[in-house]
Amino acid sequence: MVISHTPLRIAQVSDIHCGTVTFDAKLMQSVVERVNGIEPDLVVVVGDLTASGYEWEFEEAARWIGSFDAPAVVLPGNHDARNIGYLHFQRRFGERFSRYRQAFEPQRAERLRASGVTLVGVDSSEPDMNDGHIGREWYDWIRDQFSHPDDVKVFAIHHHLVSIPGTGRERNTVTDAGDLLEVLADLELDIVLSGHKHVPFFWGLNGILICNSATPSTRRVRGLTPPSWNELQVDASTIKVFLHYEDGRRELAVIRTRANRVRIREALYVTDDFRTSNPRVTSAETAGGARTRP
Amino acid sequence: MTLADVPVRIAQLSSIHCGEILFREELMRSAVEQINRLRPDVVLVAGDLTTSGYAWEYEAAVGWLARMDALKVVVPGNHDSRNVGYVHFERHFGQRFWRHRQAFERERGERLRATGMTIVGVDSSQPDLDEGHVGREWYPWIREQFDEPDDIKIFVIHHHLVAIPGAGRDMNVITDAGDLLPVLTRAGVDVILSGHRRVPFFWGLNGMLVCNSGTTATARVRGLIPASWNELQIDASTIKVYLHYEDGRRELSAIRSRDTQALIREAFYLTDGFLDSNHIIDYQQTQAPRREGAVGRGAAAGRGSDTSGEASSR
Repeated sequence: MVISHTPLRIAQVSDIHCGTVTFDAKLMQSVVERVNGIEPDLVVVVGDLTASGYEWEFEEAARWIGSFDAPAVVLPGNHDARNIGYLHFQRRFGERFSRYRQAFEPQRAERLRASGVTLVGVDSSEPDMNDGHIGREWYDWIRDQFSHPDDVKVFAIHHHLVSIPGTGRERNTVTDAGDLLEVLADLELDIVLSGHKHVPFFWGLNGILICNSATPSTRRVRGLTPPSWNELQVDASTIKVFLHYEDGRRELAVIRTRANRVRIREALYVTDDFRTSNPRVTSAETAGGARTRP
Repeated sequence: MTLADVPVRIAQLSSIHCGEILFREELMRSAVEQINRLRPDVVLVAGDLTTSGYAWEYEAAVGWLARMDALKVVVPGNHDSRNVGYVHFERHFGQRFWRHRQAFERERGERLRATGMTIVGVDSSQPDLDEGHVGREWYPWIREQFDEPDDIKIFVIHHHLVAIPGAGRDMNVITDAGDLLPVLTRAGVDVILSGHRRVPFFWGLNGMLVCNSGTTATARVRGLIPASWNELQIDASTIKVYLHYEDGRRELSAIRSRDTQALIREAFYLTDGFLDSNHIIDYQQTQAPRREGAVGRGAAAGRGSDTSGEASSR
């Protein structure tokens, strides 16, 4: 294996919006070429493939996604659930909730200090509504998917879990963000990938990198933020995110240290006493061990 | 000054809800006694003093607060703005947006590795609405209040800025949380104190401790979460939060290292290139420096500012 293939590379693409009036096929073609050019381990399409969930929009989106060389994990956004669009989604991309795992070969695992990568993608959309929601029924399933504690753990969800600047005043975070974030923090997740409001931005929450992507292929931009997509690069000591802009520039946007990730988590230590005294009984405890996919 | 006086002590209360049928006088009485025994530098009340913003509810709340010896900084919650209750709030407390600064004397400052403590409290309520909002007009004012770079910086707001577990599905996060949070991270805020949904909880966001308190004095509890209030203790190396429960227990709940705080901020580095290319932050800086209204309100807030360390405590 060549050294340059050691870092884990993920292409994060969201809000393609096939069918929208400003969808630019030339721009999308260059996105596909550049994504293939970085030879990522994985392409994650974080929702809003279409403008209104129509069949012809999904056909177009499936064609574009099919031209990525790497395996693609695809999840729906609020636009994709319009007009019963989730039916077309399921026909073309299968389940709306999915898990992808890749085990690293021993040499790469050693260099990356991780046994592999686990990515879990969920559907946060509600038919014909812009609000997002996951639902308590799914928390156990999510917990079960991250069964390799030493993997790089990535969660993908179309809507935001933490508010993003420049995204307006509408309700952008999922209605159960508080409950879901607690589940993810307990799993010691590494990265959350989201899209939705077409604003690239980053937060560090309890050691989790919250990584939001823009729209790569349309003029549905907010203010002066240009179209872009995200390239994530995970090596032994850092998680870096590069933004790829429409003019061909590739720009380092954020660096997250993996080396003191553990220290970051420990720097905020919530005591067991506190958890015992303030019980928030989750379905994990009430399900009686029967953790099945709803 | 004795050694025991070196750590900063803050009592964080919220959701007292005077006028509420589930208000428990004995809980409030014991909270007042415990707070006076604690002798905090300041008592921060993160909103919802009342149930419906009525005059008599405010009078009851003010009566309870008067029995606490320490200096108080009070911001309104959504319940306090019901029925034009903000008029009573302003009558009793003077203003809805606050700055309080306490300079540490030299020895204490050295031991705490800080020049003082700046507290900025804002009104996130909107009359008769449960959802919260601060508004762009206030961002430059908030930025200006945190003008002491080496102070411990505390921001008080009733509503949540980051979603809290067990807080239901209602809109709990203010509508402009996304825009306000970068203002706070850039100001180098250390602690954000909130109340609202009566769930004690903690997050670490970009080096800030997000610290939520429960209900101090009511049976308006969620599930099995008991009534409680928060005691913050800040020393040279840590921020500790103790919860005081209705049964009298005082329990260490969260520890935030101050040593690694700089490291945490550095461990998450946003490049200038990214910020420039996406114009993420500069729309906030292109705001007209001060609006007519903000000047007036800002000046009014000066009333609560620059209280000297000695005058403010005890």
